[in-house]
Amino acid sequence: MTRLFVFLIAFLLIPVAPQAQVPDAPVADFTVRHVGGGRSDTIELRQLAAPSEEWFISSQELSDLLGVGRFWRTDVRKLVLRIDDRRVTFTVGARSVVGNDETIMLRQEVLYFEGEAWIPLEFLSDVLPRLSDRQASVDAQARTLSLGERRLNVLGLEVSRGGDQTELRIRLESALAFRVDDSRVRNLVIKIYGGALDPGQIRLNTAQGLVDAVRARQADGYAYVEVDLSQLASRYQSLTEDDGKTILLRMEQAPVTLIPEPQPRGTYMVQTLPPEQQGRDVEVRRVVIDAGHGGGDLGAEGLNDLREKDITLAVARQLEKILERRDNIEVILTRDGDESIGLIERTEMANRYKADLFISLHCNAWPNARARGVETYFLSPAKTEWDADVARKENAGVRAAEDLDFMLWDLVQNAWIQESATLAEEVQSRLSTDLGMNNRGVKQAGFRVLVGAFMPAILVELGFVTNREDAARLSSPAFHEAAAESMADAIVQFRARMDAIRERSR
Amino acid sequence: MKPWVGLVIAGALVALLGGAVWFAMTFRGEVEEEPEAAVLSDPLELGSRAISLYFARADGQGFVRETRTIAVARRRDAEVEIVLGQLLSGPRSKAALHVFPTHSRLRQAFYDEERRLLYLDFNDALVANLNPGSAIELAVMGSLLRTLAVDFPEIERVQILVDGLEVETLGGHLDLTRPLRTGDWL
Repeated sequence: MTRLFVFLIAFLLIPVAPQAQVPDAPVADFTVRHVGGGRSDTIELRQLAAPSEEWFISSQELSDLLGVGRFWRTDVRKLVLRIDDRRVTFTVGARSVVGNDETIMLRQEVLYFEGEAWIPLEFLSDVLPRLSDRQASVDAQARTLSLGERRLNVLGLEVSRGGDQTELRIRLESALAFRVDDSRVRNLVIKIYGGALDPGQIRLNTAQGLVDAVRARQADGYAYVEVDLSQLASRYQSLTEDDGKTILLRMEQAPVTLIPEPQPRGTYMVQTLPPEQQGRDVEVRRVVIDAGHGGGDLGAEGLNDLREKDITLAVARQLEKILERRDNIEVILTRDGDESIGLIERTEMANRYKADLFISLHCNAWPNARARGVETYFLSPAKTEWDADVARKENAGVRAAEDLDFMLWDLVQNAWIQESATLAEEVQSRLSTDLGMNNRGVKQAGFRVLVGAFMPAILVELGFVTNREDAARLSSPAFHEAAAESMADAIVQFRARMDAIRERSR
Repeated sequence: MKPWVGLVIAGALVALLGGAVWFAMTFRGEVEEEPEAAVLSDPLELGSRAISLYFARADGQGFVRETRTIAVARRRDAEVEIVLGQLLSGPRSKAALHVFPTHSRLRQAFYDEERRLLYLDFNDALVANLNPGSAIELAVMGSLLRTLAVDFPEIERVQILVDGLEVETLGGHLDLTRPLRTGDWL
């Protein structure tokens, strides 16, 4: 009788017992691309939590993919991955992931299937970048997964030698503006705007050809690659390859008889122009100075009732006077009064007058009084790369045509990116040194007024109207004149540099 | 015990368990048929997650990261609204500064999943109440874009709208006529 009860109860309970995970859960092969490494793998993922379309990766595949240690504790059904010296813990049946002393909730819980833990793919795309220096992006539709170190865009360094030449190549993820500083003896410093690198990866400790050593360092917004040259190096060229994705420095050794005596300031090293820049006529004869804001657009407002539009106009007029009288450079002002002019109109004016340089003057503001100093901007090139990519992706639609137009428009300014960077460096260095102001550096941003200028173009922030010290200066006519003189000196210096390059290329 | 007593008990058990099975199956069916919105009305069902918010440093030279925990929403745009609501409410750290203009508010977020493009529609206080220094514009956009880049890595681009319309810039500097790429702001 008792057996009858047990049988009946067991029989009746079968339909309501928890279902095991469906063995025929959808399976798909995802292609894994290792960004920067060139390697690609295929992994098998499953959808284990229907009706959710979340993909799951087995703990074995995940640890192989990341190349990390995996520990499985059967008693508590916990999985521990050791990712870059950090313990990341998953628990079967739970949504929490514990790592870096913080708990992050996944949308799906970790599941147990075919003898191991399966992790929702959102871990890779959403959680991994927060727990480590790695990043991953998932495209479920295209069945692809990209893995890489976080945001590094200076990817590698190669040095090769042949004959009297040594070539040093810096590989970038995308084209970035750079500048080579050769002011020190037997040393070149390549400043890469927007560059992000791992100093351990970009280095050379043993001499190869004309390169003695290479070091790299990361600054806020820039990457620096420093090259020590052999005594035999007599000159170098800086070029780009692969649509700007490789910076190439070609060092040459002069015939022994021609090696000059060592000179105190490294002037024996001659920079020659990269071929794509040769013949480009940067002759500074006409400059468009743009006094920011105007009319109903007051610009930033600060202490002592300072208004940006008044200061920029005062400095623009001074700069016009100095450049025309002292330096014989023709100046066109985008506005010579309190007028309102559109941002694009200002650049169009510079293009229409075939100006050789475009300089937009501005003053800065900040919610408190702490921010102070000068900074100089040139246009960020990253946008173009992006729009080009978008245009490629969407080449079937109207949107593509729009993006392509924008892309071409941006390319106009990008053609002058190196010169813009050089001009920005000259102006920033002069302003901060001559005026003794806080140096906030040369930066890049997607400023509207710089887009579409068919010439080297920069935007100068002369100081903060919201800082007591800066505001006192900005309200003084003597400062307007000093700032104008300092910028004029920088423009003349830039002109001399461009003239020298043009001379050499003849 | 007489045999019929056992049979009665067995019959009662069968009826009871049968009823329980019927109820469980019927009940499960009802839940499945519930409209999605009703199921999701309780955000706790989806759990919560930690997010990172980036606020401008008080001296304007970088950002300060703060973490919060929010209820997870099923739709990306709904979750973006929650995260940016937290961001617009300002920092807790004294090292950070609230750079968003007074009364600025996110009206709506809309995520175009196919193009990985997020539209953020703000009220006009974002423009009208801004003291237009480039540093402030860059801090406002940096704070938004960096937060989105970290909390929503799948969002690739962000188009800023004000009162439903595209704007050229916030205050005469940063070009907003096209989407901004989140990756550029990390």
